[in-house]
Amino acid sequence: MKEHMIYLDYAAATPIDPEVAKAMHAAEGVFANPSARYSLGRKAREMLEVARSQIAQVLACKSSEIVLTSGGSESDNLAIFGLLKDIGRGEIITIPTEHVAVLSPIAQLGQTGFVQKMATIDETGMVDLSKLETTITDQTVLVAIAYASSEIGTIQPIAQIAELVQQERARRKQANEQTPIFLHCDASAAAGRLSLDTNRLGIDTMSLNAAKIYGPKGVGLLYVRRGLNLSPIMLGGGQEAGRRAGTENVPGAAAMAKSLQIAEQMRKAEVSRLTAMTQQLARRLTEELPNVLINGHAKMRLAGHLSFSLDGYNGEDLVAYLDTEGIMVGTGAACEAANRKPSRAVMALGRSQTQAQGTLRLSMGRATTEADLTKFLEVLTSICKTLDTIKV
Amino acid sequence: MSQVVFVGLSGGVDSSVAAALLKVQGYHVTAVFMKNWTADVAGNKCPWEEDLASARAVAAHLHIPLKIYDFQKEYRAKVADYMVDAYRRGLTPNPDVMCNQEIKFRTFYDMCRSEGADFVATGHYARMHDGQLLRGVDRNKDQSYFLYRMPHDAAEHALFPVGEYEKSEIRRLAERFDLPTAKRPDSQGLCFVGNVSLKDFLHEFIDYKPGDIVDDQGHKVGQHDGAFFYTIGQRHGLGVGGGKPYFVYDKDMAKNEVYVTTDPDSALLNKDRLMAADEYWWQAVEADKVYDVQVRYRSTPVEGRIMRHSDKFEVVFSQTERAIAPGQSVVIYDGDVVIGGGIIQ
Repeated sequence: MKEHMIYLDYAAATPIDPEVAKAMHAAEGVFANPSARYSLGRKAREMLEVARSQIAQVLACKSSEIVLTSGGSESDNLAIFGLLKDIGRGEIITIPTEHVAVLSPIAQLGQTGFVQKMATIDETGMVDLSKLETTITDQTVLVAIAYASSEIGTIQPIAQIAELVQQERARRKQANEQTPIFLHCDASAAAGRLSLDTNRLGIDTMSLNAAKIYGPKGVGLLYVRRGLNLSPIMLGGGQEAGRRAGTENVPGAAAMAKSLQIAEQMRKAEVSRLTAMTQQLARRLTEELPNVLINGHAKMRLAGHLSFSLDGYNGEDLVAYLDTEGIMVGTGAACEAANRKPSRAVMALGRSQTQAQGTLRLSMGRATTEADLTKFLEVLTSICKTLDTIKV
Repeated sequence: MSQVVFVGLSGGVDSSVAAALLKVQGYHVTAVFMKNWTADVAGNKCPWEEDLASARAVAAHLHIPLKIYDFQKEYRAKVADYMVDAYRRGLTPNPDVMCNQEIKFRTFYDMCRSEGADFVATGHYARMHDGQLLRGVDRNKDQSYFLYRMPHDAAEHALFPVGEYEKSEIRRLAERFDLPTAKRPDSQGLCFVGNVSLKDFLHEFIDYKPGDIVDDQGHKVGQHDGAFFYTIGQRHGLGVGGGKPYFVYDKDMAKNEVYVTTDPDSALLNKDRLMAADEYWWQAVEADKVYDVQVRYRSTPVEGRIMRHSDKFEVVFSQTERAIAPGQSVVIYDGDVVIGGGIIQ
């Protein structure tokens, strides 16, 4: 390990904020089971509900609409399986840039009576709204589209997608059709960057993950709009109003609440700081390196997120070489390198195989400075030169 | 123009040090990760992806290119199928010997040579001096037993840099080269299944077939779930409760019976000779010369003479040798020099 390390993979994991750690430790003292009837149990219950209401405040929703989970993957699974359990058949619409925690449950349902449909995205990764309108049919039961792609960084027009879903819902009501339609949104990558106001988003369910916003790993939540019938996928003691069994993680809930509060407080300032840095980096990359293609949308991009492809290089090699210089970045996806299958998300943008193979995803965070990015650029340039000389 | 070496980089410490040593020695080094066939036995994912990431980190650290060769088909056919088939026939096969003979020093070697390699190196603990295979310096780690069937044409261009060192020195060198694999634990178990027991692996291909366990007095002493799962000399896992441990001394595949004895010194278990076929030689054997003979990987060699028969050879030991398992290789040494060997009948 190099002495001075530069971490640029905040989309994969974030360090725990000291304030979050403090909130978590405070709650750890109250160890009793929140279902216990004695005073320490009641105290734990109270801490849990305080955390839940703090979360609800950030999301502009009711406390009862928050189901605490073990993270983003569980939340996605719970939403998809939980919403569709009693429905049994219909069309599920998603997009190829979704996280596997969304794609895999849908693929599984695709083998049990549901039909999976991919909505069209353009070369920036954005959903084509006019095409989506016709992709949604009277058989559609679920639309699952992330707020923003953690791999590409492109922000989706969720509110407009929600409008299309509501239109269809209204049409069915008028036609007296019983088939329901839901909109699930994975907002894990968007937290701390975009408004999480559930009223304005108009979604039915939404996943969040504490680990992406300077909270602990293993803690997440699913927002579930009031009145929705969500079946649990984990059975047991009927916690979380029967929607998720298992003794509640009170310190985790406190940490989630604190992470969300801080992320929301810092959001606007962080976004403007990181947006400027991202734009400058994108410009310098294209100026200083040949064959650079910036992936995603020029404007509708998560602040501090930059996916780019270096044609002719292997992203996994670049990651390994950057690591030897103390710089940590990701490729954006675990790709099947030995099978030479590059990222499905990057390929979905219309990139060639060799372009997709050379993809790096850089994601900045609170500690990222301009000096870090300058150093990154300098090291990347020299690595490309090294790789050119030893190319096989 | 320096000579070109392709080194098989597995993601472990030994092959990493091999690559580093070759680079220091002035060769033009290219690393190759071999993607061999891997079985996903329930509940256990073979860790090849982690191995590849580790190999990539080493290649980056050494600034050498990394190629990936995909030999899944060849490996499945020539090593995994061979192994399962041999067990099915009641033998105790040696997949490592087969892998070196058919994959590493045939398919892999040929591919490296065709892509420009003057030499092909691996992280084996063995030595290659002027085309002659020798034991590795570290007798405890020596892998020459697994290499005795490597094709001679490949031996002419093979390099085993770590075989010149003790394992402890290899770990120290890994630290000195600051290799990312320096602290990686050595791999264990079957290379293509990860941490799964041999029996669980075989059961993916061979159904259980209950039969009797019979002792040397002719008494049934228990039940087994398939004679093919047992190997001669095996002590554990008979499912025979209480008392002294039993040792397998023979099997009858037709009757599906496993024969055991409680006497570890029994003549049933300790033989003074063996027959081997499918022989492979590095040097001609001399009649009446006493050689070091090894019937298992890492077993202490015993003295023996070689007697030629038409299409096989016989080894006559100076003292008895325990648990000689058909299907395993017998390897003949003269000191550190590998003379040759064959498959025990």
